[in-house]
Amino acid sequence: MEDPILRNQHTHYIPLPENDEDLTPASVPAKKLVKGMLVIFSISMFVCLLGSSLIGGEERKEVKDTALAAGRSMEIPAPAISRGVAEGVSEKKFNSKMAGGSEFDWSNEMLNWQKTAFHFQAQKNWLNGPMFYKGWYHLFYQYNPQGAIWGNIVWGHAVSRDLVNWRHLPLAMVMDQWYDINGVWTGSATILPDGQVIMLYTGSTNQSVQVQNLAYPADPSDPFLVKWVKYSENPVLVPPPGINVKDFRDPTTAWKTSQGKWQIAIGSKVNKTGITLIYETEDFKKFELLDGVLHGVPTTGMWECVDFFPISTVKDNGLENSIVGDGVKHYLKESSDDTRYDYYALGTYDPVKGVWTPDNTETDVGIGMKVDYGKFYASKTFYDQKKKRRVLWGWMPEADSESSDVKKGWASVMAVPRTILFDKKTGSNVLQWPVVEIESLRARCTKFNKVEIKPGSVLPLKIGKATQLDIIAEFEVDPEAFSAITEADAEYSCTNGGGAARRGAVGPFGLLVLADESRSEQTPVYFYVTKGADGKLKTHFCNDKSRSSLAGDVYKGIEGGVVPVLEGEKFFVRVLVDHSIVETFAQGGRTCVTSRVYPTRAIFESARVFVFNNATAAKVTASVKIWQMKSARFTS
Amino acid sequence: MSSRPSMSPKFFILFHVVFSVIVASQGDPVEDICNKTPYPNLCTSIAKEAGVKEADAKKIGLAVFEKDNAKAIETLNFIKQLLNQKPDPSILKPLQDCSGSYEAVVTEMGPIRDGLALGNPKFAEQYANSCATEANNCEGYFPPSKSPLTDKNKDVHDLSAVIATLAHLLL
Repeated sequence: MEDPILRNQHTHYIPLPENDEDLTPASVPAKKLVKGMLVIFSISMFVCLLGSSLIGGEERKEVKDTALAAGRSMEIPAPAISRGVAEGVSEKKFNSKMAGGSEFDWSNEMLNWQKTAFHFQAQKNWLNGPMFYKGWYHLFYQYNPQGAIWGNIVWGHAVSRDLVNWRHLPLAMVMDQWYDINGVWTGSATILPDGQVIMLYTGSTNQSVQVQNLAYPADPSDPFLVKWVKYSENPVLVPPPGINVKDFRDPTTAWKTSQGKWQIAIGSKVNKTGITLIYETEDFKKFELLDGVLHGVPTTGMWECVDFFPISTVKDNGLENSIVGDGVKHYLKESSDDTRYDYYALGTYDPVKGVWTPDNTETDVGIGMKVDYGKFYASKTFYDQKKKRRVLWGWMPEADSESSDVKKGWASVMAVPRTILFDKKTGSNVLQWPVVEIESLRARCTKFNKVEIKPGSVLPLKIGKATQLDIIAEFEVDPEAFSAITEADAEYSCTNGGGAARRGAVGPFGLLVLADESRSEQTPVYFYVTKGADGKLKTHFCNDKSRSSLAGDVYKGIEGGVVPVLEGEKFFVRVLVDHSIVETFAQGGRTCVTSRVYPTRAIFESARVFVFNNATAAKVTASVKIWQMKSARFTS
Repeated sequence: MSSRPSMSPKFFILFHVVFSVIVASQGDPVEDICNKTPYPNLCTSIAKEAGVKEADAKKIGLAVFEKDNAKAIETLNFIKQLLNQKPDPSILKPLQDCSGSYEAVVTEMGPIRDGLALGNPKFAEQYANSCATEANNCEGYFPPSKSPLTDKNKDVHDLSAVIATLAHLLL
């Protein structure tokens, strides 16, 4: 039915009100009209005055938050038995911090609470070919539609306009060829200058040999790129001589050389030296292996999911993959099959020699900085042409037991996409920050200004619900406290530092998230300042999961890393809490730590947030802004 | 006993009427806001239908949003219907391209509403502008006077443009 308002906007047509109680000239008998109009005018005048006094010059008031129910449907069949051991990237390893793992009696309520509200989630997923094409962001991920049984790894697919709200699409590719029958694994998309999309991906063959295959959209005019075609002459690349057939996977996005050819990188290893091979091609069908390697680092083992891209040292935007020259460094990253962490380094790429040299060999790839010091793996970036930024995706595995994953019917999530930029202030690392679009989920805001936290105290922050939050917190420490730091802590690290219970002169201080009222469960996110043997101050930024849950069958390690804090800077942190995920960013994203947390009590209405200062000397003043986060939309 | 001058009821009513009329004619608060948008009459009539009487850009924006959302969904469904009916070859590709445009518009409705309702108007403005552009793009895909979507495209464009301005006022 046509809407009369739109059709008659030029003729002052005012339709009858739907509400019977409204008084209008048309509905009131003429005799009473005058009196009726008086009433209307005086009421409307009163309301106008009232209205204008509320609106003029006020600060943005808190908005009543909308329902935070995570109400989206996932078509995940319930798996029947526990998963078998996976191959390649997919193997789930538990480490010794599972504490002997006597199985906790998880209730359905506890397990249901763990599902996230604004993170991308599917059953099992690693990252493939994220890209921006014809107005839509695409995410491809590895997916097991049969749930329990390992195998049948196919490519799930979803699209978004804003990297926050997603629409699920049909499976893009399934393992239906001899060359990918044992797995359609990680791939990368290259968008050619003429707009063509090329996808290179690793297939595990019927003999479990790792090969690279070419695929492309069946209909490039379909902005959703629903259907994909595999090149009839796949595979386009097989393991070269000297490389093990199980150490050859995850081709990168291609970059164009000054000769007009394309190059891609593929991670591998020789003995215990992790390496990156470079191949050159003109048509993505025939490739030539270049001599030598782009780079290699002894003792680092197999390099999975290599990522390699240019980053500007002067501009605040991302760079398209082929850029080289002045004001450009190159980021090289590998996912370590041995340690299950992602490592990166910044350095200089020589396109003529085809080699990359780290800025600092002591913090070379695999032995230096981690992309994220927590549960964050197989990360991959893409260049977003719409907003001219480089966007990083990371995959977060579960850190609970396999039987819990089976019970709850899902496992693993994607981190919130992050923009990645060169840190001009330190010159030696990147900054990661959640994409600005995630802020569209911010609802009611509560601010706490300059709250003093004496040494040894914990203060609750009353904000209502505390399971979907965006927190920005700033901490000031009285300068005299730093002189109280001794060198006793010179060997401190987050992992071995004893967590939030270990008191130092200046630290630990920070936030407690996913804590219950009595703090029988809590996840501290904190700073701890030490002094090295050289007398220099060092700040550690950690997530302490040792008391995050009463359950014994979840990972309870303490993870984190060193974060540069420059002269004049306050300590500042951003924390995204989304049920069983806590993503933390220190000093604007210089050091990031992502944790999977599985409380049994600090769930639903019982979850709380606190600030704390467990230092012995430092007086800490905190200013905190906390937004409730609405759930993202996931539709089919 | 001295007689106190008192206001007779008639005088009071007359005074009130004159005063009220003067005040009312100095600016309807809804019109004040809507006059800042590119389509003031559209804005005002929607606001009044929704019962908004204050100069509340957010409330007006949400009322306009409901219309925009409904029209966007209606248009997308209409496009799909036309595509199912074996359209004339001269408008087949334009319809397909418009289908893409309106998938985008419909998807962006969510963030527009959130932006207005949750107090993040910069997103409402950004996505409303995007929708206005997509609607124009869609219309532009067709050869002159061959578009079966002209009215609908205009509606979505105009409504989105109004929302974008209202959101801007909330920044």
